[in-house]
Amino acid sequence: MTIIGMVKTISMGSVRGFPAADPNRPEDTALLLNAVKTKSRSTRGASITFALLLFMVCAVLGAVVLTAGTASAGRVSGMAEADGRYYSVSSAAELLTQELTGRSVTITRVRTVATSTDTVCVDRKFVVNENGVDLEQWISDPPDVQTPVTGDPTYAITVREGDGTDLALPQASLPFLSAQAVQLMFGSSNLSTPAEQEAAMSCSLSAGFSHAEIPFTLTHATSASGVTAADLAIDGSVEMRGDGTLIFLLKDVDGGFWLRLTLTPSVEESTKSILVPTDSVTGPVTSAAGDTVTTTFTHTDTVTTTKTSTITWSVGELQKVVR
Amino acid sequence: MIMKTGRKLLRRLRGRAGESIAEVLVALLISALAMMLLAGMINSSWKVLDSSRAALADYNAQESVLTAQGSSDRTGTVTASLGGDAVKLNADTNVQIPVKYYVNDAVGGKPVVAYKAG
Repeated sequence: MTIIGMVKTISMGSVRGFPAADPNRPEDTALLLNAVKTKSRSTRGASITFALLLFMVCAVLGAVVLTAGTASAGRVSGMAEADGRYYSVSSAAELLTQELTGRSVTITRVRTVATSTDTVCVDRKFVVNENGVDLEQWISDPPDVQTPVTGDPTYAITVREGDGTDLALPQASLPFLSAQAVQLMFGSSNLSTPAEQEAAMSCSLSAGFSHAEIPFTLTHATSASGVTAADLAIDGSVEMRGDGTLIFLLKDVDGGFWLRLTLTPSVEESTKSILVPTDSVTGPVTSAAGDTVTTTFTHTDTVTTTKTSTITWSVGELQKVVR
Repeated sequence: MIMKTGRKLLRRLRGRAGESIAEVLVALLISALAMMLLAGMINSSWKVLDSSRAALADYNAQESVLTAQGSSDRTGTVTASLGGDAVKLNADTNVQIPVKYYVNDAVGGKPVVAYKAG
């Protein structure tokens, strides 16, 4: 029994073999003094046991304190690692946003078709009236109006970003943004045959062709101090929905941090048709008075249909993905 | 053997015999060691906390610079690839997009790096 224990025991007024003491009563005070005397003479010791107990308590307490301190220090390096992942992926998302949003892609499809109608006149005769002015008369009256003939349509398909120059198809040679617009509009068609080009006239960006996830990566090249290019590489994918929504899934090389960048499209489409009539003449238009000639008058209606579709992407959502 | 020792110890603990000066001294020694151990551990822990607090302050200071993304002389390029083929992201940019890097290496180990086009 340690001294502290003894004092505690006495103050509580309860010593083994003795009733609870009341300090106001003289007989109880005597009892307490007796208890102290008994304890002080006791030969029952447990110093080593208590020392070992104290050692154990101190060791446990120390371990707890040390563990807490070390964990706190480890938290800082863990935080740096997490921040590294976050900044690597969020910088990639920011770069994509900067390069892809707010830029418009315009796809123009022009279809031109001409319909010609020949009118054949024979027995053209020039006469001189009383005033000496040449007048022409058509002997074959009415003239022979033939069946209209429609020629093969011609097509022109162009892609343009913003106010830039027209970009050449096929799709594989286009920049990412234009290639996505062409994919959305025409799907896998390579637009090489008249049938494919005719079908392209009825395509729309509003109800386009989606594509599944395609691997999309960003790699760095640098010799800047403190920058390890391999640590910044982004390994992800991109997919496109039928309405033109682009979804980038971006993750760092370790796959510890994921972001989903959604670019939503804004589509404007218009159709314009222009009819241009032209007339031409085959055969002599003048002749001596009294001559009989054959002349063909051709009337051509050229219809040009222009379909213009413009798509512009902007940031819809940037979400952290938990995997 | 262990049982025998245990019984002996129990008997010793239950016994009414007093303890020798040597035993008391050993107990005092053990107690002192325990106290020293605890003090040492608290001291080490305090030092670790102190250094981590300083590292955190340095880290936060560099993080602010990194977040602000002002000027930087650390440059490089980023290349996007779609399906394994390098691709221009838009008609006006190059395949290799120039970028500036902002580095926080206060903690040591792998540094925190952010970048932006420019």
